[in-house]
Amino acid sequence: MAGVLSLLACLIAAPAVLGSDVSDIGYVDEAAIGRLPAFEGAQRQFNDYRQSLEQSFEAQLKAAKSQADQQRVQQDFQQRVAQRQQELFGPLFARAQTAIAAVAANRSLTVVVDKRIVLFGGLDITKDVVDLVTGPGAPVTPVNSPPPSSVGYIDQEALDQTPRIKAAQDRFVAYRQDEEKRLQAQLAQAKSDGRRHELLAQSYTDLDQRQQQILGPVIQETQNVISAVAKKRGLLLVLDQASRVYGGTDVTNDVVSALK
Amino acid sequence: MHRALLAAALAVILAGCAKGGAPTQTPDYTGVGYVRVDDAVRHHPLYPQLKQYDEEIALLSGVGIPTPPADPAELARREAQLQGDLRAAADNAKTQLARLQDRYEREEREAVTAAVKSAAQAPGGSGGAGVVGGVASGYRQQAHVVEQRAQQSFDAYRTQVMTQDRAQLAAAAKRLADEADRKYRDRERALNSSEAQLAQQLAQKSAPDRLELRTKLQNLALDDASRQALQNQLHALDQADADQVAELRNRDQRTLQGYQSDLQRGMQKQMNAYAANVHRDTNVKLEQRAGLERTAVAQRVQALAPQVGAQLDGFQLASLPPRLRARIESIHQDFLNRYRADAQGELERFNKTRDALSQRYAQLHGAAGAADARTAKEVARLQHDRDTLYARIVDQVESTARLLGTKRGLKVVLGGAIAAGTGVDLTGDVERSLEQSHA
Repeated sequence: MAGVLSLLACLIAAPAVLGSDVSDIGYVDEAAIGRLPAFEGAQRQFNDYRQSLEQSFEAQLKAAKSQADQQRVQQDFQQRVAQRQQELFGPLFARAQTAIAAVAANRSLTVVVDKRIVLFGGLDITKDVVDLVTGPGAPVTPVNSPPPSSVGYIDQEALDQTPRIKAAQDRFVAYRQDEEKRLQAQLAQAKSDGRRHELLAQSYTDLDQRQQQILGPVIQETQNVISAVAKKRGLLLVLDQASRVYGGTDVTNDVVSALK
Repeated sequence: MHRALLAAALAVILAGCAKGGAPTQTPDYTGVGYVRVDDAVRHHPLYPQLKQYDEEIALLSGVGIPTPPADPAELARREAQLQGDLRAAADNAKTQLARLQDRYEREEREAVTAAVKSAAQAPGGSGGAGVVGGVASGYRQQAHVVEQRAQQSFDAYRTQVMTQDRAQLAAAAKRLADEADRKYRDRERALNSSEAQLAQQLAQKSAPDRLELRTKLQNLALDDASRQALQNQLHALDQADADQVAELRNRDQRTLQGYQSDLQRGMQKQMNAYAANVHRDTNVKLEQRAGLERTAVAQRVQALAPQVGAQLDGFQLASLPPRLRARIESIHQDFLNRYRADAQGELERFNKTRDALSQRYAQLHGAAGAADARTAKEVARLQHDRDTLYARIVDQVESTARLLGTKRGLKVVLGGAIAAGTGVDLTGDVERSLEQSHA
């Protein structure tokens, strides 16, 4: 009798227990943070700096006597731009990121995503984050790292570098380049817009089909692998890293290993 | 009794759990659902229409690529060919005019001579006919000079306008090329910066490992094999960092190649639009000038008539017998009328030649430009319609996902999933629902 009762208790409690993870998903409107006066001011300063720097570097580039000189000038330019960017935005991003982490910890969120992907539900923490970012004191970094999340994310750029995907992409790029050369040669000989239209239409259809043939199976296989990893790790879903703002479970390495 | 109640309760709960699951997916007890928006868009009933837009835009943008006006060398070659054709046409017109003038002069002289002879009062032999014929010839020559000068003036104006036209186009081409070059270099700098940042990050990340290895290498008691192994590890670290940077660099190169193609296409499009405007302005200027000169030539030729009359008067026509004078005046009037008709005909031919020049010039420059402008306008319209349709499809996908999520008691629905997990995947249901609503 006691066993049946505990089974019943478990079954009754199960949806609530499993459903409790719903409240640990938060979202933030990153665009709203980007529109804060501090960010806009930094952007203006950066634009002005870059513009003024460009003028002096244009002159230096023209005066450069060798390719090595040009490279040196360009590198110098890049370094200065990157340094200025870091100076202006680094502290702001760090402050915003700390604010998001602090709010997430305070609200017991395991993941914070970009507002654009939320269709409904979730906890909007934008106002809290904005208040912390614009507040007088510095936001305090939470002591603990975020708890494990049931929402996964993946760095798609890392996936693109896996041998199989890279090989497929390179194959398609090579095919497209050849096709473009062939098309240009044919277009140069075409005597009417009608003929050009025909050639282009044929070329686009070929490219489309070829893309499906070369990349389609690889994309499908990758999706299957990501799903398998997600299910193995008990994740609800996997997002692109770009949509995740804070927390979440990174499955990139698992997927990359599985694809090798 | 208790056992029966518990069994019933258990059955209800288990049935509830089983029923709560999605028709195709895992149970939704997690409260979190998602939709793969890109996949749902691809299966939307309106997706073929979206694809059709994409193809039309690609085709229209592509058709404009090989148009010739932006190539200055080809433009100059075709202009030179056109100038040659027009010069040949003008020369032919002049030859025809000269032939007509000779015939007319001869007929006129014969008519006056016949009149004088018939009056049996020839003043100084054929002098009367000679005077009238000379005046007529002078008149025609003056009119011809007027036309020639008008044509020369128009030719000079056209050359000047076309030179300005070419200079404007060359300046615009240079400006656009400079701009594209600057953008390309900006992108290149940004990518190089990312590469440098990656190299720095990698170096920082592996710094502790390197330090550790170097520290170990400083141990004098190491045997050769161990030392070699440590050095290999150090080398492997360097190699791994270099490989990652090289991979990024290769990817950046591909990105840059694609970006350069985009910039070139954009530059070509802008150049075509700019050329169309320049040529349209030029054609308007040429047409206005042609109209002004047509009027001026007509006025000048008309103005020569009274001078001819004055010259004839100067040769003492008044002293001639009234009948002969009337006869010569009649011949003179007839000469004037016929010459005016001849001059008018020649003027019309002259105008036709010039119109042909304008028309062919317009065909060479303006027509292609106008077609490009029309194409660009059409592409913009299609792009707008395509964006509107895409937004509509995404909106339908998202609102259907919201509706289905609410019906199924989900608490959160996300739209950015790239792969399924154990959450409730609404994608298939959204697709089916949209298919039904569009059936």
